[in-house]
Amino acid sequence: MGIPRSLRAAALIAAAVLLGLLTVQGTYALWAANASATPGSVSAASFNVSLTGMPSGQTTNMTLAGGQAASLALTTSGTPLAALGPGSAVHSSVSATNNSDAGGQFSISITAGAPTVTNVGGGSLAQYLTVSAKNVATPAECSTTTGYAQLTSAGLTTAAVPKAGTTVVCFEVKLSSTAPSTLKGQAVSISIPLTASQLCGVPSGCA
Amino acid sequence: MKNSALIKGTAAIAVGAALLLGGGGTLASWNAADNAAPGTVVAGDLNVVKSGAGVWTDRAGNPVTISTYKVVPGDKLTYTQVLDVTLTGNKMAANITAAGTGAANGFTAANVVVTDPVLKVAGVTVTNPLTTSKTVTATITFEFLSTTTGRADVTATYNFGNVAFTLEQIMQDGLA
Repeated sequence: MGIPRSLRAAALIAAAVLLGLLTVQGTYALWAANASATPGSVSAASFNVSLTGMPSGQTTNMTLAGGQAASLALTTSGTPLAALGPGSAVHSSVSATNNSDAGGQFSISITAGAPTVTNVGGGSLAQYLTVSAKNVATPAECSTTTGYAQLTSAGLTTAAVPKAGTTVVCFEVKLSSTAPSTLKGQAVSISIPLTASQLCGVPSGCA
Repeated sequence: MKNSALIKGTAAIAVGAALLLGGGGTLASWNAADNAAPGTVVAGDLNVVKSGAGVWTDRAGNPVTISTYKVVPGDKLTYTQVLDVTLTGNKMAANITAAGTGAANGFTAANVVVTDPVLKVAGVTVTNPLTTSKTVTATITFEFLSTTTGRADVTATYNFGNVAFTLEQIMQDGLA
């Protein structure tokens, strides 16, 4: 009539748990002290660049609320460019403002890529046009014909634009002096991709 | 005869009492006394307290106000908290540890590197256990990697929650 095995096992486990608890409790019985710190939250800056097109006067944020790229018209039917004759040029511009709320330095540059020139209404004007660009401080400087360089796939990259700074990219569209008279009245649509990139302005950073 | 026995008994008692009195006479002889002063037992001390508020600095070491500062890719911020550790006691030894709790990462994990709290004494990583009072510096770094692309993580937030510093005495030889 011995003690049932299960009862003995239970007693052993209980004893082991009790001993274990006592051992652990012994450690806690020594002195201990605590301090706590709340470092707070780190927040990322916004990356907003506002664009103003001339002569249209349209403005937009480079990135729309949904995250997609914005499209900015430099000319409209109400604000067309001047008529273009062989050997002459017309100008327009985009002003880009760095509106980031970054805590430290945050400079950007704007790159204008290769233009896509599309004939409107089946003409052949596009092949006689040259699209050039230059980086200046104010739109007024666009009418000065010096300093323009033809836009290629390498694009034109502006100088650094610091926080709250503005830069202007001028565009020049020139009609070849060899353009035939058959081009009269034709029109083209020109699309130029703009990209804003952060420059590493962090001292000894951006490794 | 009966009286004789009574007398003898009384006499025996009287002799016994006299002997007892004689013994009492010994107490009146030499005696000596002395005093000892064991002194005072003084308890040691164990404590850890923040020495002022923690500060954030940027990569160049310039202080920043974290509640208004906005990080951009390439930024690396360091949080520094100085702790005063008091340890007094001949057999005192204690381990100091730090642990962050309640952090909430609103950034893309691959775009940030956040370190666990690192404890240092005079620029050298703490070697537990400590046995004497020290000034311990705890640091945490947050780096927004410059490899971040597109507009990833604009206006994201990383909440560090709480960092708990614990100083626990440990057993030494001679303690039980």
